[in-house]
Amino acid sequence: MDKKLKKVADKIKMPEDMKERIINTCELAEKKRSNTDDNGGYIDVVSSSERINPRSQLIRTISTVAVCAVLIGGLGVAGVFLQRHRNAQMPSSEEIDELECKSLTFDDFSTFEYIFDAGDGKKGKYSAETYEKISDYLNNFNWGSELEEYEARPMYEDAEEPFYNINWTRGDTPPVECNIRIANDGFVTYTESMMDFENGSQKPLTDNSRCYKIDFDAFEGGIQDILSQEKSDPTPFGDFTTFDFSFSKDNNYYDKKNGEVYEKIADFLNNFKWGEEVIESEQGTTHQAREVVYNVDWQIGERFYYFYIDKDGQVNYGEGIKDNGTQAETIVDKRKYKIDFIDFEIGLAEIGLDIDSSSSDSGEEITSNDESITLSEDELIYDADGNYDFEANMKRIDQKIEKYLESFEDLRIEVSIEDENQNELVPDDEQSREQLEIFLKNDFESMLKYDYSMYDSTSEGKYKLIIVKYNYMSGDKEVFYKAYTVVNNNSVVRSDCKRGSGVDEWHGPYPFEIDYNAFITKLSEFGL
Amino acid sequence: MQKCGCAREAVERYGDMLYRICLLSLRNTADAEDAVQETFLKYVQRSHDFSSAEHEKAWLITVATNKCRDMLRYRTRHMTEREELLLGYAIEKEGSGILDALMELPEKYKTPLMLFYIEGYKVNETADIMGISLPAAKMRLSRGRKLLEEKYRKEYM
Repeated sequence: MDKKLKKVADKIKMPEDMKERIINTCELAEKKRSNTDDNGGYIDVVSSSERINPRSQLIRTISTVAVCAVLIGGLGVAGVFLQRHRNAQMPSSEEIDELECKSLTFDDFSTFEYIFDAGDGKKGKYSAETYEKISDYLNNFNWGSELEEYEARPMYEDAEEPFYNINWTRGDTPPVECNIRIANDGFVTYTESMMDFENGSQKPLTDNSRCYKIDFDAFEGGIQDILSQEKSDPTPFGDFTTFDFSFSKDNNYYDKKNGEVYEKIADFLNNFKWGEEVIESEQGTTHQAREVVYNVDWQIGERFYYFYIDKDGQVNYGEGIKDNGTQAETIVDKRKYKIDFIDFEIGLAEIGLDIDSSSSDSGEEITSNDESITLSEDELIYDADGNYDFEANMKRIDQKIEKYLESFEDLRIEVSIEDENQNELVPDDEQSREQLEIFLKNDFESMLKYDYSMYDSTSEGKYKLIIVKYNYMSGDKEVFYKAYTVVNNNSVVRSDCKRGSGVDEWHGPYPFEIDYNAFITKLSEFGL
Repeated sequence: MQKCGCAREAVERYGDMLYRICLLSLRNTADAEDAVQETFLKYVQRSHDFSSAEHEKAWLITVATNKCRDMLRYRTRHMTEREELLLGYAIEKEGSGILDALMELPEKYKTPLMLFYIEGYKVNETADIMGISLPAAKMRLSRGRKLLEEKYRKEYM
């Protein structure tokens, strides 16, 4: 498959006309650069990474014209055209002076608190510095003239998602809720609402509604410029290197006292992809009990913060305030995220955290009950540890195998299936053989359920058997082998073998349960 | 390495490779063209020289993959853009299922697979270009390969 991938991908070639377009644009930029160097840096506009000849958008064409204008006229002033197109509607300095003399389209944003929601999940949680810039931008942005009634769209008439929302409360009595909704088609709707004393709902003050039409790209460009400068926290929960937190799994606690391990956890949490907040409606209405695996909590001043992660990768975050006098705790924010739980655990394992053992020292050898051997980190020697249930042990074993196998870059798996007399079972036709291979590689193991109670060492020889073998190859060498013996009493026994240099390490047997009839039915689909 | 007057030469030499990477990443010919163009613009406007051809190639790949990542991030954040799914790229339909499967993988698996299997970089070089650790690159390659195989076999065979 790897060779096929390369073979097919190599056929992708850049079309000649595209190549020429790019060459022309680059040569233009080269000339520009050359002129700039010759003129002692007189014109430096093209040195930005702005698209010079992008396609399919009118604004891109304008940029191209601007490049020509600079080249032909040789005037630094023409460089203005090359300013990011999103600034097209920003007023010039003269206009700003003029603007300052006339009334603002909306209230002066620098004089009151508002929430600027850019639809990025942060719900307007930006720094004061960013808000200052946003206020300046909103105050100076050219919103154009108010649209006539027939040009304006009634609020929420269209299905377009608003990209930006600005909300604030004007301190009238009763307070007036103000909203500016900026849709991605450039329609800006300003509305006010006030609480209806009769039924408590927000009643629109329609007389005060206004509508404008702006260049959305221009607006967004400026806003994104500001937001991109925001020194945001690396995670939705903050920067874990800036406060003291405790991290726990089961009875294992990690905090600042753990030194290097703690620092690694902080870095890991900061770099982990937490994704966007999951909004309530996406989660369904079921509130079943979930098995919490990881807990993280911390406190900053009077505020306490926590989140816990369950086995399904659901992250429940909470933030609250503790009253020092009454000790009463009030939750002020709750959020949910969905993460890739396996990625999370792998990440922890990569920083050396033993996510499975009860000891925080990952290098420590764990002794176990008399049924097991030992567990060592450096070699692939493993077996059941009496401190854990069978399923937990098997998961740990499987993770270790996976990690071991991942060290082979060219790993391939050969699968086969045999009857009790060790005769290989092979479907008659090519398609069935292929389908069987897919089934054995992808689906067979998902039919198995860890179950220690299924193990019966006296059952050998009594029942009908089918053996499924997996040979893990690196080059022409087998590096690992595992075989499942499927018995018609619904039990399965797995044996593993790590092929070492000279000495093979055998492990198992590991017992599982299977629906034997379902397995046989599946095999019959391949003509076996 | 030459600093100026090298646009044509560079596009001729690396254009196909960068286009392939950007197209597989962005799944859209127009965006791929933009990403490649911006990469080459950065290339001609850079202020430093390259120590070797390999350095030059790796630099271009890094810039292109970063650009693709930015564009994908923008696209995710602004879901209005309609994706014209790879209608314009000129490859034979036969055997393209593997590419379709590759393109559907998450970016973090797709890029290392492209660099390793298509562009022929070693794991440590892949890790360097992507700015990730060697174990992480190995892990992503391994998981990516597994995901690709599953997806290809289930959906495209």
